[in-house]
Amino acid sequence: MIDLRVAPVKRGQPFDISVNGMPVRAYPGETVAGVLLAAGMNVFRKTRETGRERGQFCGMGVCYDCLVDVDGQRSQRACMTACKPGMTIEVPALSKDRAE
Amino acid sequence: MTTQQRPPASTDVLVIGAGPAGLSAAALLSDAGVNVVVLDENARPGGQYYRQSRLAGSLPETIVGPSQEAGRDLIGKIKADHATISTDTLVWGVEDSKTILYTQGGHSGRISAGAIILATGAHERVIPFPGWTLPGVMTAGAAQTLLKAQGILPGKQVVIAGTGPFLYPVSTQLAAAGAELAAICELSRDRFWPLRVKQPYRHFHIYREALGYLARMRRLGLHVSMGTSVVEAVGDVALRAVVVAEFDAAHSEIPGTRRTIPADTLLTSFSFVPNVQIARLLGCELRWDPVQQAHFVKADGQLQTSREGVYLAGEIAGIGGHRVAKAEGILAAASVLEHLGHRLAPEAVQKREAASRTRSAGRQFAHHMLKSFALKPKIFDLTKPDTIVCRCESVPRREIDYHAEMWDGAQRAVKQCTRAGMGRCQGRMCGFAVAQLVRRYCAAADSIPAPDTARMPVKPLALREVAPWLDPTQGGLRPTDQTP
Repeated sequence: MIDLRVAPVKRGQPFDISVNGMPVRAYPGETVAGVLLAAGMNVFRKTRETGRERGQFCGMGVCYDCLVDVDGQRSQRACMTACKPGMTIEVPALSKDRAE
Repeated sequence: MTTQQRPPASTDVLVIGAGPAGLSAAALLSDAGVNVVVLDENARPGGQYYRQSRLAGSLPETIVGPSQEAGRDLIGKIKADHATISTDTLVWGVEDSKTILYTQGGHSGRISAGAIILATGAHERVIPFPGWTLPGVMTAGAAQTLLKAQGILPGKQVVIAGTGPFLYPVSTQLAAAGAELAAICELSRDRFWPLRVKQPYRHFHIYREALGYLARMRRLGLHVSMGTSVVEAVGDVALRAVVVAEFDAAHSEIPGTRRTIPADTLLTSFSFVPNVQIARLLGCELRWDPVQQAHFVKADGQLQTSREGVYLAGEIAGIGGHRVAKAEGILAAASVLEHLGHRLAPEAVQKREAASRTRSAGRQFAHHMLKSFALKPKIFDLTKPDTIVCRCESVPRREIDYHAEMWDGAQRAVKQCTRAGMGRCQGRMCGFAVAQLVRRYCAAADSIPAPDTARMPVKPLALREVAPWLDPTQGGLRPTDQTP
């Protein structure tokens, strides 16, 4: 199991979010991008033009490459979206035939 | 002090950006009893340098250095009864030189102010190379943000490549947090640039900081490969390996020096680009910086832009780092107080004098640093004909070259023909590279690229966030008295 969370930091009570139907552990304050990367998932979507994979790039809300669906809302920036308990994330790269 | 709350409809002073510049401005203004509102798109105040933890706790200073604690101190100095910091609040437009449009929690609003301080900062400059769109390739700032705000590493095996002193904090912080740094590549071959600055005695604290980083790197067993750059990121679905090579002083690749390093993460850092979009919407004049090859916002000695009542501080005036930004926040706030008819208290006068010295020394050092790490034209040989340049619209260099040649280096024509810079990021990522590639085809070698026109909304919004502000009969924004 890959976990890229650095040990010496207080994180609070973990909760699950749903990523394409699978439960994935998140800690209060983490972003969707943070949770996906910590779980070893760095491929977020495929482009409409070329079908090639993209993930987090600028990490600060500028590049719009880390787009995922959050609670049914399309194309949200994973790096700027805080996780909440019960949140439903669709990572387009994990869905068949889906390009953004 | 309150954060994440909805800003009021009006205030004495509006500060856009809660980084070192905006926060130090807000501290001085709130201390003088002036009502100040700070808007920032991030979840926490701090900007990039003072980036605060989003978690229940923070990483220890042994990993992230002194910046987070310094940020907490500065935020603590902002007087709660006169200041509102509204985070998760994106400024997307302007109505006039006193009224700003923003969105928060999916709903837009407007705020009017007696004066505005623009402290919108900068983001990382990027150079396209084969494979740079692969997942696993990020900016160095992305990794640092992830670590400082969430205590998460971007990957296990990390290569850092780029140019400039930002490589040092990022690599030491990641290594201290447990990442394996497979290579640290600095394009420049010049180790002794700091010693050639004029009046070196003015920069004692910078030398001390630099020596601190070198000592930390030694302890962590980190080695910097000078005159080395990434040339290709390799992987099918995500990054598997990084190809690096040696470069000469003209930034040409030296044949026969390529080597391949297995890695799941590549971080690049090639200096910074200012966020001038809001200043552009306000009609502030820009200045061309020949060293950074970018437009910054023009300001006078009082840090007032060409628009009356609109001031600036920090990176949008010129890349200068956190010390300069913090000093300019104080200088801009002092100017605003005088603009609003206040007399400066004796402590504020002292602060302004100290800030003025810090700023002049800091700008002098920054200018020397930026010149020492200036990119040479040959570096764009990294971008091959089929390399994607505009990430949003997936435009390869071949198309940009084709249209640049056909239109004799006219930036706007190339943009319209290729859509490079017209995607979701509005050219923030590729703009620098596209401008550099296109201008090669200009008849005049020293031609200055025209700055992109800023348009509202400056970042993509949901239709419901802009709809109430649109006037279908006029094809623009509704007049002020008819908007919600």
